[in-house]
Amino acid sequence: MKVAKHRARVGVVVALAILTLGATRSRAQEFAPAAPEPLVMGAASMLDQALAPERRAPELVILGGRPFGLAALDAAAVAAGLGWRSLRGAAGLARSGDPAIGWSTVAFAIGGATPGAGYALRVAARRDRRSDAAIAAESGAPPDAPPGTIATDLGGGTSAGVNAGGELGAGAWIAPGRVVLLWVAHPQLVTRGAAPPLARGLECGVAWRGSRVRAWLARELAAAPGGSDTHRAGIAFGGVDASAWVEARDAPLRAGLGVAARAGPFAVGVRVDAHPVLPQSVRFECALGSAP
Amino acid sequence: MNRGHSARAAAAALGLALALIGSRVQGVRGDPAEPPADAPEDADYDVERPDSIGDGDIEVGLGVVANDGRHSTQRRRALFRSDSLGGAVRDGAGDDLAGSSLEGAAAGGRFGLGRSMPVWGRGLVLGDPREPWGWRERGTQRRSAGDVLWYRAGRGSHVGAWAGTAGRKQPALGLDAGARGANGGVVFDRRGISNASVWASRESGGSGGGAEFASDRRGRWRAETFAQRRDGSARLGGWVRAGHEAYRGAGDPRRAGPPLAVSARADVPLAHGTRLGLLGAWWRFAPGVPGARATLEVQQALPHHAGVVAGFEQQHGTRRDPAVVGRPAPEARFRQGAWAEWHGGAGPVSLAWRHEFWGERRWVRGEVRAVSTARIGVESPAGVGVRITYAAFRAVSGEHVYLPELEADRLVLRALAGDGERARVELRGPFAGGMVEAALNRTFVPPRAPRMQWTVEWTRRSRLRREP
Repeated sequence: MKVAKHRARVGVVVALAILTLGATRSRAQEFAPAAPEPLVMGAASMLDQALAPERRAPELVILGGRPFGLAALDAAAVAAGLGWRSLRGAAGLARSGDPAIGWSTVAFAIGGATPGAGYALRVAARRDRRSDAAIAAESGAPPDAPPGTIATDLGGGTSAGVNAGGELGAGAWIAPGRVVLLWVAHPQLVTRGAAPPLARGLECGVAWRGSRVRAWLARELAAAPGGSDTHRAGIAFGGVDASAWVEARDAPLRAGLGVAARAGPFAVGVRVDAHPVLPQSVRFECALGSAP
Repeated sequence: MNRGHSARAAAAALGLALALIGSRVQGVRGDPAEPPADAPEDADYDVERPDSIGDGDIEVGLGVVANDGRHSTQRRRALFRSDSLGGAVRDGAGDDLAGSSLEGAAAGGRFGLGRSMPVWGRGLVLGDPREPWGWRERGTQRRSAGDVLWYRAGRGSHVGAWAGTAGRKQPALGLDAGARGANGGVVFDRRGISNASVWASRESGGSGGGAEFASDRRGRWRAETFAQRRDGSARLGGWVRAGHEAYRGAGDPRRAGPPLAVSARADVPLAHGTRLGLLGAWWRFAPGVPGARATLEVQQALPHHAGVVAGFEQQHGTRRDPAVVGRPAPEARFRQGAWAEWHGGAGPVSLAWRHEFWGERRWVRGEVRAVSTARIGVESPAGVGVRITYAAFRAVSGEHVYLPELEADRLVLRALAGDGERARVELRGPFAGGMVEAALNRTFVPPRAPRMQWTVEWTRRSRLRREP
């Protein structure tokens, strides 16, 4: 029993260290679409980055992934989006990680879009999958601690934390002339409660969208004091039916690549991100909805 | 020493070269927002927005402000203007802009009352002298403190008088007269004549020049001459000041400025929607207390009402008179800065992004402050608008970042220090026959807890009389 508890603690510490040190730069969140924003905007991008899609047709998306090759961090999500006139809305549910270190997420986004412009607000709430009692028992917190507040110092300290949190973000994009796309998004404009698993900062980006080639450049400000800003640049080839892309990031320098295909209302996409230290991350996406 | 000397010489040479061209530039958008030198370094600075009411308009505003997020204070204001009378009243606890002013026409001349201050010539005696380092003419400067009553009659020739405190604690009286562009004035206080000034100017179509010579009762003097030229949308200007460092005018002594200064500015359109802005200035408060500033800024207009701005600047020395602030000037202060800005929009959405960073070594190395700002605005056809502004800033100890924030009746230069972020959400919409504007600010500088501020202001503008 003691060994199992020790293993669980070690697993939690390792996973949190990876999330803190490595994944903060990966931008991968529960609803992050496999394809970069300049290529496709949909329900997933609205929940992830508050970037509302121009199309208003309903969409259902299933997302999944294995960050850094860790089965303990496996994630799955389902998202749905809908539009009416210029209004756009999306909702999603996600579950990340195994029961020992994972969390569940519910997210909503509402916004608007017109030809050439879109904007949205997103709200996400998370809660650890472990029960308060389980974590309290591990951390030594008093059993009568109020629900939702538990000791998170797994090193044996007594600092009290919370096992639930939320965040609010906003984003907007414009496409003057349709060829150039510019976006500004801050998914975590305000956070409350437990810190989100990935700290995210303000992102500004610009993309050029040709008929068969697309290229983009984005800059994300450091989400925490003392951190460094990150940049990413990518290029994609192909059209609506099939496309492939590569993307490079800095801090630390790494790359990712992906492919996407569409047949009628069905679309699939896969993305693989390399990391100089950690194993590869894989994300996939299946969508049901009309073509953008 | 050599670096400071060479930079000073370069700035002076640039300033003189541009001064020879002769011009005045009202301001280039995009340059870093900063309060005037007389403002406290670590405090927010409020300045009135340019009055936009027209003849026959009256504007009433009510507001509630909570600078600590909890305890609110009220603000009230009323402005009106007719063809012969205009006035403004502002009231509010702790409001830097509180006060009243009245201006109008009476008995063949014009009069003013309250914080409405007359200006003599270049402001060496009465008014605010220009800051050599400033892009704008008092663009971010409040009206002088103190109340005065003034009257001026005549057109080609005139006589005028004023009485009041004019920024000083002691009351004073001023008389001035002029004809054909040449003017003279004398200021009296309890001890007799305190200042005297003669000035002359000639302007036509935005081009011209002039000069002022002023002296105090001890014979200490200050003189300033300027030239400006406007050719189409190109504006060039420069001015030179010289005088005794202990000279003080009748106005606020904190705004006396440096006794030795040369400043030149240019705003020149180039081809394909490009504009070039230049500023070169050198000044000296006292021997061994110089300062210099050189700025280059390029604006490029883009399709769909978008635009980009990029600039580079070098600063030396101080802008604060050691005799006024009561402490020695920092030695050999050197700063280089650069900024880039983009703004654009499509449909109901507008976006803007700006990045600015400053270093204490050449080529903007040794970062001392940096700020990145992004803004999202959404406007509905019904007049409801939402704007979200997010800024991430870094400033080392002793440095401050200023973020400009527009409120219903003022521009606030928000002073921020440390390494943190500021988010601002603004809502605007029609309400009760007017417009209501609400703003919520959240400033977070770890490890301190987030600081909330909010304002709600309602403004209604109406006509004093109906159109025929």
